Amino acid sequence: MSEAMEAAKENLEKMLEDVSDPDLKKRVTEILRIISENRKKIWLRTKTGKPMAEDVEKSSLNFVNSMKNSSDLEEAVKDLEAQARKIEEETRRRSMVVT
Amino acid sequence: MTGGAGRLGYQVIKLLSEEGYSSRAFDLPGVNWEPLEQIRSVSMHKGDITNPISVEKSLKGVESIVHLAALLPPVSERDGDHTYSVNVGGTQNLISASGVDVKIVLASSISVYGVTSEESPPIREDHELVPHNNYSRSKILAEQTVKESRERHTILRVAPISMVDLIELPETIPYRGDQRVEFVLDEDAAKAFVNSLEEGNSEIYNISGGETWQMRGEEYINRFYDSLGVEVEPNFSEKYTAVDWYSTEKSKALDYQRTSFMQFEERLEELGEEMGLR
Repeated sequence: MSEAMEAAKENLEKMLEDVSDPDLKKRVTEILRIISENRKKIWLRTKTGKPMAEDVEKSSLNFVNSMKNSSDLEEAVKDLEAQARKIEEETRRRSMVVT
Repeated sequence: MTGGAGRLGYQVIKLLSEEGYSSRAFDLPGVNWEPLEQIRSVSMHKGDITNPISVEKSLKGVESIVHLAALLPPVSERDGDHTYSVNVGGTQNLISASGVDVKIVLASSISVYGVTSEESPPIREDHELVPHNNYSRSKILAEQTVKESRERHTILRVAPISMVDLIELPETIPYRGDQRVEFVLDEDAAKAFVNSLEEGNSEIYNISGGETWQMRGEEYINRFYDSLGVEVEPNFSEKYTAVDWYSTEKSKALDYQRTSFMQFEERLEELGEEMGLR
């Protein structure tokens, strides 16, 4: 299990209760879904996977700070979405296909 | 080369380039084209196989078609009509837009034999065809479409593909632990496609790894992840599925089985070290 992804998940779960805007809540919930589904992936333990998981954790902290300060929120959530999509794409690329 | 930007498509195009062919990759605009950008002798055509105009444009001046584009399980099982449209309709579009002198190499699948766990292996090319899901049904129809269209065709029934890469363990492995399984390395399968351009007109071949790749599902998973240096807790399917051991006596004519399973394991061990998993 990736500790960085676990930390990102915790950061966002705590913050989700404070999100009142329905659109933003939907976006953060979707990011949480991606993090939850991918946090146990083997590739996140590799030399290339670890920094990507750490980037998600950093972005989650940045989002939490933006929420607290009410500043640059859109930028922070966009960054988080981009990091989450990268994780999802890499998992998709590494999924087993049996024809 | 339809499905040119996929993993097997990339291997085929790379090999074509190494062997001096110039090729044209056809795939959806939204897929990852980056790996192909490194190959000089390939031109890239972004389009949709279900759109006849898009297909026709991409086929101008083409001498041979390697047809890989298809919806695969689990996606193929969600919507039968869509699977038919891509896997059969797409094949029909290629046939309509190309002359009968254009060779077609079709990627079919061992899935067309259905679930054969009660039978005695190996499964040969003359085994009956059993349409047991959307995917196998579409592949049987695509084979029929190609066969009826021209003499210059080769049909490759490809076994599940292995690659020297870290493949994530799915929630449920799509075969039983005690089931016979046989995979083929992507590079070796690519060789079969390239060699089919010049060989095997009007023939059907099983494309699979050969004897060293024939084992039970649990052994395959254990050897794969042990080689990478990863401990896993696999959850196997409870039902037998359409994977078995295949006869490749006939397809040996395509001279593609270059890699034994032991060589595959050695390469996985090297990869595990490079990735920091060992």
